[in-house]
Amino acid sequence: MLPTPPKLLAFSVSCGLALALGLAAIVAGSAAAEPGVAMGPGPGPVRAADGHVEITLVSDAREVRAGEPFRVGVRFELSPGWHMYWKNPGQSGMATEIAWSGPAVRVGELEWPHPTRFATDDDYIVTYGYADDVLLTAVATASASGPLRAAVDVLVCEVDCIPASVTLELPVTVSASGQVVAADERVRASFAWSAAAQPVTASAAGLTIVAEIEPKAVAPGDALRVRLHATCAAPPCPAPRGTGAKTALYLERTPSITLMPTGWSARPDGGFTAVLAGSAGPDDPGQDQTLTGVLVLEAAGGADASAGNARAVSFSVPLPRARGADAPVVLAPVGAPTPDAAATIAAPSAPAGPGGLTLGMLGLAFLGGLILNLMPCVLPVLAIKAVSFANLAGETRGRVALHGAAYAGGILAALGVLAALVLILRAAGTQVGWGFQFQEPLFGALVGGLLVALAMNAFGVFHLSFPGTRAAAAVGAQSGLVRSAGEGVLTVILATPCSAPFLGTALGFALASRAPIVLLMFAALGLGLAAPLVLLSLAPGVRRLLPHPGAWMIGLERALGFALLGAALWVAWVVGRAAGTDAMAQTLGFWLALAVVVALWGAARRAGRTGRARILLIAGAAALALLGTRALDFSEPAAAPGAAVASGGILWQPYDEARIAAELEAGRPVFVDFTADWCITCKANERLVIDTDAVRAALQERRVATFRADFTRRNEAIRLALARQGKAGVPMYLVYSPARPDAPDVLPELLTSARLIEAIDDASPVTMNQRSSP
Amino acid sequence: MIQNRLARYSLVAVLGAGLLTLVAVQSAHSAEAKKDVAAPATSAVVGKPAPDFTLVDEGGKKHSLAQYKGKLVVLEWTNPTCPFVVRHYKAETMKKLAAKLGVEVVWLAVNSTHFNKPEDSQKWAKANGLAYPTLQDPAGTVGKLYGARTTPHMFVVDAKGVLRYAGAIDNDTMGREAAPTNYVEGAAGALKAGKDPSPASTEPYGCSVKYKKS
Repeated sequence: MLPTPPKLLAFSVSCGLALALGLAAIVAGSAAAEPGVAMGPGPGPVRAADGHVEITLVSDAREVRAGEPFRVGVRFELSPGWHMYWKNPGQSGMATEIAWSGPAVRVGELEWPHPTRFATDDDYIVTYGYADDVLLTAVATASASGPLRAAVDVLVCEVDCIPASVTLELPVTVSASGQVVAADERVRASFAWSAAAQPVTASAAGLTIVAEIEPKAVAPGDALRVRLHATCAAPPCPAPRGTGAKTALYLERTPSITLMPTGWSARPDGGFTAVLAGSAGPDDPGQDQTLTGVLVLEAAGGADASAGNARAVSFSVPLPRARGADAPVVLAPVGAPTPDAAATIAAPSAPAGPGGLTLGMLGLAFLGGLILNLMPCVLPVLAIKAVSFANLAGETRGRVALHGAAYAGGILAALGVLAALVLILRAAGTQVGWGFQFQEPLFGALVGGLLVALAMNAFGVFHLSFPGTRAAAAVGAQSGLVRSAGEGVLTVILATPCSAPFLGTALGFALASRAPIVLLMFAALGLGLAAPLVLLSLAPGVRRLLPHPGAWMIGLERALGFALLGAALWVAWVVGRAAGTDAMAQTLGFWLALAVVVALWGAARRAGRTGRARILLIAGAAALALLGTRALDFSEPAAAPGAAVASGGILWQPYDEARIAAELEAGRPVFVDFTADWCITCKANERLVIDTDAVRAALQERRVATFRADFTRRNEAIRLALARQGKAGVPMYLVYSPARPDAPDVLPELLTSARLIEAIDDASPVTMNQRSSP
Repeated sequence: MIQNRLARYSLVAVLGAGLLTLVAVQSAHSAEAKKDVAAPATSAVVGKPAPDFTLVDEGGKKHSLAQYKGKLVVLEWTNPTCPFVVRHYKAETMKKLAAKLGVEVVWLAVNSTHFNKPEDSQKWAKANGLAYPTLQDPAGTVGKLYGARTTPHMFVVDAKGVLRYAGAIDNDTMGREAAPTNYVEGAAGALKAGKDPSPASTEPYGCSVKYKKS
């Protein structure tokens, strides 16, 4: 309860003295004023619970005016290491209770200072309460002099718990002269201190708190997430005390709802978003509920984060109940406490971004980048890179580092371009999803062409040299540096379709954020992507392990050439799926032309500096190149697919929101697979998770309507559906229950059959009854 | 050369900073993630099959949940050193209810207190004249399987093995009510009558279960 041990000690000692003096004065005063009143148990202090708590009844006034409010309180001084409980004791324990009585005194609701968190070593049992010293207060009014009695029930625990039940009595004196006689200065100070630890409303603390509830209406058994978005007029706002599960966020008990804090993050606007997660119990409370709680904040800046600067803010969030079959109306989301809350909630992926840019988000992007190195899309490029590094075995460390820098630079530049493209397209009003570039056949053709050219290079058909590098050849292997950078660029291009499962959240966030944040996120991603190879190149030990360059490298390079052709094959298939067989044939034609062009080019280089042969070869190459580009006219898009397809024994209907609504209306659960042919994760999930006997059986048994949202080509409806869930790209898996048509279950991108079947079971209309039988 | 060195150092600095950020952020996040994982670790969910277990009682006899299929089973988390348990045993809340529910209901007390010995349970059973066994779970495995957090913490399993009630024994946290509503009695009564227990879950109250430190 109290801030820091030294402060506490000083406070305890001074308050102890003050109270002793003050109480002596009160007792003496009242005894003198009302000699006839029979003294009851007395105001304490009373030792209870084997001496582990000392309980005292106090008042902030020695004499009060009739009918005017004053404050009374019960003070608990606990042995070191012992604690008692808040109004919600948490997962065990017992709320402290005080029952007031007195013939002429009326006492209001108990005022609770904000609690602190107590937990077992493994955090298995979490409780809320007070240690050391706490004063629970209440406002009182007296119509006449008379005794005030407080029956106190308190459970004090260290490891073992001891309940205490004591009754204290304090005479309340109504001033004969009509003058209020305040309690001793130090007694009032303890009341003031208790008042300072009481939660205030958010607006009193200068904060606006808006709640976002997921799902928007809660049914029994639902998993539940509540986000509290806090903003303030003058950032930086105060931030919550604690992090993660230890975030100082305390909920009062709500029937059948279990929620625990999972952490908080800063918002770009200087505020923060705190998150609570949990579930609704099996009982239907039968009415809408309200989540009420307290959030403890540290003063802005955090440098002076002593508890003296802490501020507790109370909040109250309406929690609508999902209506069952009796009234198939799901209440609209309601935010608290401002009227404009609903608008804020309705657009969680608005460009302002729902959450803040945190180190966490950047860290995730960096981690995502690291993991991308292991993806099948990127591996061929990494192989090339590895060969380049092997080539450098003889070079100085400085040169190797320079190559590393060039590689990282290439990655960052490519991601920068990609980010800029995203921003420009967004500014132009075209919303794009991650991996969007593969929706354009031209892009596929060009990337594949690059792969083919690189393969030709690997086969030794020609030697890659970039324009303008010949002049630099004298200076050293500058062309090698350009090549390193180029490899970085290629890595990025090939990595994008693999990135969704790791970057889905981070990129969904980034794409919905402001421009600098988008750029920062992409930079973090790039650093992660570049890190392993660059670090490898910098580690002297690793470099020594690399074999010396030799004939073996040519063999390896050839082998890599085939790997590159394999990657090109995949791109061809993507183009084919996105734009039809004609486009695929055009693309292949372009690649063939390109291959021949580079072969001619290589031959021209070999033919020497002079001679007609060279001119002829170059002319031929140019002509063919011109012809090849004509193959890239994809102006006639293939017919849009609209028919249902059966795959793996599942009948997939094309994505259609009206049809989905109709199926839900008819009482059928709906499963939507958001996929794209260029998304390898999607394909893997479809193969290994969705098209399995168990899932098929579950889909059939529960009569689930299945829809496939194919994002292979650009599709505004699908992009919007992704954005609604805060996602920028595929895969995404949604299971809709007819009981909650507005709150689909969003399944993880790395899908498992068990999770999918569970979601299907949960979405089935007769859940409650069916679940009760084994 | 200077240029090279510069490039190298700046690279190391940038990547180092990136990695540090990552470590810092992930450590914060992992705590969060752990919490997310820890929450559903309990496999006992009202409305779903109750997780099976086998434990020995204070006399060394084995009991498994599966062997009682076909009967209602009441699980009572207990700890004779907890004042809440002591209060209920003085009032004979559990003993009387177990007797009232009769032979077709199996009552199993479970003690997940890490320092509890079978002899302690024997003494307790003798002193209180208990007709039901106290299962010995000093490792806390079954306690955590059910998510038992307090003593007492009650669970009611129906004849099909489905968990139908979890929570407090009654609505009398302080032990002051003249006629408290006993939730376990209500749940068992509803199940016997072929109805759904209501409430099917309440907030348990009492001491925390004194689990072995993990």
